[in-house]
Amino acid sequence: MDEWYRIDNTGKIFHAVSDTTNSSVFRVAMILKEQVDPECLQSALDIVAVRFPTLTVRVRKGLFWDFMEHNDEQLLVKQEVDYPCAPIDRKENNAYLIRVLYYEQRISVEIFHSLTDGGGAMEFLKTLVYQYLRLKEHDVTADDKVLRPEDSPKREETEDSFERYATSHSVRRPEKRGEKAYQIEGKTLDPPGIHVVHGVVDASALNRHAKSLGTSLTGLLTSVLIDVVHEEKIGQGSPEGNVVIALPISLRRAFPSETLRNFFSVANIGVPMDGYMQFDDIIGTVTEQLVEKTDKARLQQGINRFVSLQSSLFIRATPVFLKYPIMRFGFNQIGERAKTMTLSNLGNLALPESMKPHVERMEIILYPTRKSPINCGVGTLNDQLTVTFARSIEESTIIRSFFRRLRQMTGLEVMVYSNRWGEER
Amino acid sequence: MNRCPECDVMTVHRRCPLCQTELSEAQAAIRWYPDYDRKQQRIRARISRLAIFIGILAVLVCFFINLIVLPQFLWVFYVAVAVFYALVSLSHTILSASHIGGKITAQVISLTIVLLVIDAMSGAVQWSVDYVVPALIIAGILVITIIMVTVRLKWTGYVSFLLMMIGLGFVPAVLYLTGLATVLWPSLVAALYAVATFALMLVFANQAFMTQLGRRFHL
Repeated sequence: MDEWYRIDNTGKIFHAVSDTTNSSVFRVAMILKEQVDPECLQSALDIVAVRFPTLTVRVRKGLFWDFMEHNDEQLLVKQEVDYPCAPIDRKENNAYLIRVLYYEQRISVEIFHSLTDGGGAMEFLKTLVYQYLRLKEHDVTADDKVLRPEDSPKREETEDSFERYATSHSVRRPEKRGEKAYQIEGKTLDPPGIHVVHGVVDASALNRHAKSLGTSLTGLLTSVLIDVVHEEKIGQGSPEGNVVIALPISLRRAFPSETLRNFFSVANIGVPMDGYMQFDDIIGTVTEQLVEKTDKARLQQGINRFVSLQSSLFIRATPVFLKYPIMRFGFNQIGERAKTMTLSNLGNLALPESMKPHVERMEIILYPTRKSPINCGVGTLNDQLTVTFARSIEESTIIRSFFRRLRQMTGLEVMVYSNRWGEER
Repeated sequence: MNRCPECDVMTVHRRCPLCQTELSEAQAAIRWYPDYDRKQQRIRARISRLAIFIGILAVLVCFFINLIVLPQFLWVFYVAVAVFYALVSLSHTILSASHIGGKITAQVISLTIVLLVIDAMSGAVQWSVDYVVPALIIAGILVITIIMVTVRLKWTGYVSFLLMMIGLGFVPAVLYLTGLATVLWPSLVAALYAVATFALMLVFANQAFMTQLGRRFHL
C-alpha cells in the first residue's frame, strides 16, 4: 500500500506549532472493568490499525507542506511509564504519530493533533476496545455505534471536510484580532511534564443541575471555570479583565461528515469581569455566547475564512521553513493570546449497550501549552462525567477551587485522582 | 476511599490530590498511574541545558584567558566553533532521535560553518570555499545515496534530505559566481555531481522518484 495524504487544514497548524512546551498530543482513554491484557491488546491493534489508514501514517517533509505517508511498520502497544501527552518520539514509536498505551485497567490512545481531533480519536479508541473485548471473548456487538474493524475504510472517512464544506475560497479579510485575554502564569513543573487530576461526577445529575440553571452542561462547566479563574484574579489584586475559555466545537453535527480527520472549530467564550459580576450573570453571558457562536452560519464563515486563508497561492508557495515560523507567530499572537484556557467536552460517548458493562468510564486529556498552561478535557461514559485538568505549572489553585465549587454548588459527590507528577511522594 | 475535609471530595489517594492534606497512612489499593522516576526525569530534562551551559562557560573562560595572554590574536573563535560543533553533534547527531538523513545534512551544514570560520580566522586563504566545502557537500550527497541504495525499501525516507543536499550542491557554484570562491573546478564538480545524482534517481527510480517529487513539492 502506498497511500499518501495532505495534512488537513487544521492539522497544518499543529504541525507548525508543536515543540517541547506544546506537544500537540492529546489523550482519549477508557477505563475497563478488568486488567488490560497487553498481548490481546496488541492483537486487537494489529487488526484495527488497518481500518484507520489516516491515523497509521508517518510524516514526511515537503518543500511547501509536509505530508503523511502510509507506515508499514508495526504499531506497538506500550505500558504507560511517562506522563500523559508527552511529545511523541518518532524513533521510539516506529515513526507513528499515535501511541497506544495500557496501564492496569486503562487503554489510552495518544495522538498528535495533526492527524485527527477528539472525534476521530474516539472512533479509533471505540473500535480498538470493541476488538479487544471480542478477542477476550466477551459477547459484544457494534450496533452501528462502532466502526467495525472488518469493514473497509470509506472514502468519506479520509476526506478533508473543510474543503468539502467551504462555500467560498475568497474570504480575504482575516478574523479580527481578539482582545487579549487574562493568561494564567506559573512556575514550570520540576521536572517539566504534565500533572493531571481527574474528577468524576454523576453525569445525569450534573446535567439536571445545569438545566435548572437554564444552561447546558458545557455552559455550566465553562461558567464555573470563568468564575474560579476570576476569583484567582481578584486574589492577585486585578479584578478587571477578560476571562476567555476556548471551546473546540465539532463541526460534524452542523455539517454532516464521516471524516476521521480534523473537523472542528473553536468558539471563544469570554466574559469581561469587573469584580462585581454574579455567577448568574456569568451563566447568562456564557449561554448566550454559546448559542451565538455555534450558529451554523457563523461556523460556515469560520470554515470559509480558514480554507480561503490556506488556499492563497502566496501562502501555499511559501516554503515551510518560512511558513512555519509565521504560523507559530500567528498561533501565539492571535490564537493563544485571545484565550485563558481551553475546555474540550467530547460529550456523552455513544457506546453499544453490550460494551457498556465492560467499561467503567472515559478520560480526555488535553495538553497544556506555554500560554495556556492549564487545560481541561471532559468526557461522559456510563453516566460518569470525568473532568480532567492537565497542567504544566506548579500553581493549582484554580483546579482546587473548580472541584470545591462544583461540590458546593451541586451537592454531588466528586471523586478525584491524579498522576501526582511533580509532587513529593 | 478517603474524604478530604478541606475540599469535601472523595479520593483513593492517601493525600488529597487537590490540597495535599494527609488523609490516611494506608497506600491506595487502586493504582491509576505509574510511579515516575523523578530523578531520572530531572537528569533527562537538564542534560542538554547543562551541555549548553558548559559550552558557553568554556568559551567565556577561554575568551578571558585569550584577552589576558594574547589579545592581538583572538584564538577564542577556534574554541567557539569547536564548542558549537560539539553541541550540534551531541544534541542532534548523538542524542536526538532525528532521521539519519537529517543528521548527515546537519553535520554537513555545521562542519561547513566551522570550516568557514577557521579559514577566515587563519588569514582567509579560501581553502574552505574553494576546496573543502564542495568536497564536504559531495561527500554528503554520496553518503545519503549509498544509504538509500542499502536500505532499499525504506529509501523514500531519505528523499527530502537528498534533495536538500542536491540543493546545497549548487552553493559552491553560487559562491564562485559571486566571487567568494576563486577556484572553478571544485564548485563545478559539486554542481555536476548534484545534477548527476538527480538524473540517476530519475533514470533508475523513475516512477517512484517522480511520485516522491510530486508529494514533496505539492502546493
